[in-house]
Amino acid sequence: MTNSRSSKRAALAQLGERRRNANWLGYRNIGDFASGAFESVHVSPYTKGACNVDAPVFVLLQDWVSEDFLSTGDNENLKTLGREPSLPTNKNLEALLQVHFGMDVHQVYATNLFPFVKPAGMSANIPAKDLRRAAQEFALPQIEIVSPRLVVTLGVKTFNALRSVLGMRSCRNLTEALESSFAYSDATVWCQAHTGALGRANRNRGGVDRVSEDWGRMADWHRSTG
Amino acid sequence: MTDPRQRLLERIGNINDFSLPRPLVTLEEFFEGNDDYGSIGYNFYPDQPAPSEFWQYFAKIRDRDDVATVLIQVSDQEDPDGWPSTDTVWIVTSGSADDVKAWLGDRFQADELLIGTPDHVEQVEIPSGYEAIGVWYD
Repeated sequence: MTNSRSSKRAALAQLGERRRNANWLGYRNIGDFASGAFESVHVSPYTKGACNVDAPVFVLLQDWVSEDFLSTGDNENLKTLGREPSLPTNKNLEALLQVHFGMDVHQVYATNLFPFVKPAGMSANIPAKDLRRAAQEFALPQIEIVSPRLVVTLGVKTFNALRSVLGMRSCRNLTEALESSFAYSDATVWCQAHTGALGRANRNRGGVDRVSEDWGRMADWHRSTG
Repeated sequence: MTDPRQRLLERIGNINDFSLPRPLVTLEEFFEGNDDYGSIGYNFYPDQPAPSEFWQYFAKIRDRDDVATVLIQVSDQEDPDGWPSTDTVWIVTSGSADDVKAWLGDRFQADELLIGTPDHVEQVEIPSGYEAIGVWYD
């Protein structure tokens, strides 16, 4: 187990190099776009702006961006932060981290489960087998290296990819996933809803902010076990 | 009489061979006998519609004069004992994306609407003046 900040960074850089050298059928690598302007030393560029390798909280989003999104032109935020803060997913995530953990995004470690660029539209389906392979090769090793207390996965498919690789039964839906946290390495892995606009709309039906309630429950657990 | 799940499995073939185009099946093929909440809308929360509600809702849309058909894109089958799953419903319509958004309302609102089926999806005949609009649920 790696412990010091420098040894964690070295181990993560090795994983980043593995991702940069990878060539997965049907996907492109981040360095293939804009002469490598979006490339980073990390497994996912999202980590550029969320790279506290000693953070107790580790956020795992599903995937980064699509070819279409990268080809819409230069995006300075994507180059420097690894994310576009104006997107609902990122705005909501920032607010939830601040409200429930008192943390900014740069104070956590955040990454994407799937670290390659998916084709044809932000919403193109990534087959579960590819998510599982990414979980095995990149996500689980990052959790082991960073060694957080809490891993927050956003969305059922991300959560199930980890469960499946670890030999656990997949959850049928988000309701089941929310009640199916599990331990891995030094962490407890929780599922939460996507933080995109629709996820919140669904959950907030009836005037109850279910996203906030769920994050509050998770944060209470985090504090009580600290 | 053929079991509906078996009929669907035969229709979609080896769904986990991703070199093959994703099948587009009818509402009846996908929903008949299907009570698996993991098959559609699995990220809806807290009140995820049942598969039968999705069926009923999209069947109503299919009945519209400006809709030629509604088809389910089968994505994969993670659980061999479960139902194959989908994240995209295709509406072949002469209406616009804004029309589709309105038909879906709040309850069935898409995470994103897609215009035109991509290459990795089974192609269907689109009548002149119509287009395929995908209702994508993340």
